[in-house]
Amino acid sequence: MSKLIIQTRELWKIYLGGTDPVSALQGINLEVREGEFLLVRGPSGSGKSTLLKIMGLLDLPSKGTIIMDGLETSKLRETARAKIRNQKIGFVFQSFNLIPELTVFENVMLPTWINNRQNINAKEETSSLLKTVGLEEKAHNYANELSGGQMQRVAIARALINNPSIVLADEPTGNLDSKSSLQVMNLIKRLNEENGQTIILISHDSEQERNATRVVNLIDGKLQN
Amino acid sequence: MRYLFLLAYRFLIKRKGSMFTASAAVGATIFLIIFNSVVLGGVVHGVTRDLGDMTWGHISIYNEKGLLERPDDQIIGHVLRDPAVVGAAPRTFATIKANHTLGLDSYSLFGIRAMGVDPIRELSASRLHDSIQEGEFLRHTGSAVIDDEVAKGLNATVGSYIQLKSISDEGPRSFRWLRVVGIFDVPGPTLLDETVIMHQTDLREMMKIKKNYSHEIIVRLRNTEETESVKKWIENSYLNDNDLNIETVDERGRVVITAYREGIQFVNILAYSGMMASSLGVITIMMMIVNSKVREIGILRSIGLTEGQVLIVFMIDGAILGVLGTIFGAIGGTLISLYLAQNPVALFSGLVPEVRFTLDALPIPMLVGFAMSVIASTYPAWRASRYQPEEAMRYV
Ligand SMILES: Nc1ncnc2c1ncn2[C@@H]1O[C@H](COP(=O)(O)OP(=O)(O)OP(=O)(O)O)[C@@H](O)[C@H]1O
Ligand SMILES: [Mg+2]
Repeated sequence: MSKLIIQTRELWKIYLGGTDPVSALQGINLEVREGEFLLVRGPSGSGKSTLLKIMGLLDLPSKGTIIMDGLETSKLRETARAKIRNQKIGFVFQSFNLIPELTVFENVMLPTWINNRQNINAKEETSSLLKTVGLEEKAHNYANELSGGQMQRVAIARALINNPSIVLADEPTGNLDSKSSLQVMNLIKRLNEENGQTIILISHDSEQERNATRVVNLIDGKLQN
Repeated sequence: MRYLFLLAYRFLIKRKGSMFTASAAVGATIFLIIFNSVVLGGVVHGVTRDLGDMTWGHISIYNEKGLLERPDDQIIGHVLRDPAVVGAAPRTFATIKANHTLGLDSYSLFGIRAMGVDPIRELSASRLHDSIQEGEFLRHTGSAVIDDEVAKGLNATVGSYIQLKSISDEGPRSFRWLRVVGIFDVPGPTLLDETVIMHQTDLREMMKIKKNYSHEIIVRLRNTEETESVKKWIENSYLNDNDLNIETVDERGRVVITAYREGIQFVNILAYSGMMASSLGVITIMMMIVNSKVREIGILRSIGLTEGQVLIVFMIDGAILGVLGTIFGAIGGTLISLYLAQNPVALFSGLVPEVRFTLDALPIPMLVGFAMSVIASTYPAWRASRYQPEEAMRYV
């Protein structure tokens, strides 16, 4: 069996702030192995996005730990967490999170600037990734000049530029028409099959079960098998 | 590091309106400070110039206790030996009463100042003759040139005969009838308002002052840069004359000039406090920019930008606003200064500021303005750095 890449232990997330505290995650224990394509399902409000944000080190759990590649992340400082987000994790969100002030090319290249790796040819990789997602002609357009499907493909290219071991996708096709959805999902599937990247996908789409290697259900902040 | 500049630059350039408003606010204060220091500096130069031209010469030789103890010709002859000196003239003073009768009405002024001069020497030692508004400058005994306020007070014009009287002495020769040959008007701070200029011989006779002795010798130089060295030389020539005071116009006019300097410093303080207002402008606009970029900040954080790097991005924006504002302000300030240096304008009191534009007027306001802009952006930048990466997804 391949090695564990993410492991959560007794993960709790309690949102304060509102009138009543919301326990969005209630003791999640989840193990994801390298190369898995994990589909997370569950009704709206069950805590799927919350789980993904915490596993992607975008937010802190109220309780519990996340072990990533054997590294206990709850003790890390914010700069170290930022470095992991940059180098090990690629995010794709439902709302195509691009920077509108940058061109498509710059958006895709941005994580390499932050990473500051000397030994990769960032420009060439950016071009080749844009070719992979079929957007090389749009390279010098600003991000907000694209259609939703195009933006999402740019977001995927950006998620991949630093060659992360894990790709986290939260309803990446939620805002797309069926043709664009298919393109995006095929891309994600190829990542898993050809590059062996670990995928954790949140989707309501039952079609995705066929692509996934494992499915978990989240209900009221708890995993059901 | 370069991409942080790119991000900062793009965030700003996509909001040109805000960018120009904020930098205009910075520029306006920098402009004001340069304007103040140059124009008000020009006021000081102008006052000093007028005091030198009209009142005390570039160097004044006088005796605090009264008349100089050496005859004027001796002192004048000596100082004229220095080629830097273009003229020297004696002046004698008295406080007098002046009367003028016109038809059945008579007018009088009490306690005004009479200044006895040597008309020929005065031509090369001062620019009093340039201040004549009507008539001509003094030429002979028996005539007087009066200040326009004296003319008003006495209801006298060119051609009027006025009677001048010593206040202290009631003797038979203590008054004079003089014909007004000219009316002069000097700019405000020259201290020559309410003055009657007359021939020194008339004044000496009226006041019973011995011939050849005066209260003051004014010395005019070819070039004011030589003032200090000429003063030293004169001092060395009269080492044993304890009664001689030898002072440059800056020293003699210290009270007047200091008053202007202090006024200017006060106005400068006001201008620098205007920076508070423009820093508020920078803070407000930077906050607007930060608040409109919350989502982008979240995205940047989610792909690995650290809090410190977000801070830097918005600090760079503050610096860009500072640089732009500084450039606007410096260009504006330079243009107005150069214009005023070329086209002197008289102020309320008739004083024409001597605006000299030098590049030294620029660095301090520019530096302060730039620093202000950067400092003002620290709070918005800090706020930006506090947004957490998960907020990227909350603003859909
Ligand atoms: N920032 C927040 N502050 C307070 N409550 C929150 C916050 N984010 C999520 N919640 C609450 O936590 C619960 C889980 O939300 P989450 O977004 O994880 O659900 P989800 O499974 O992704 O739902 P959906 O399928 O609709 O996207 C919900 O009840 C939600 O209202
Ligand atoms: Mg969700």
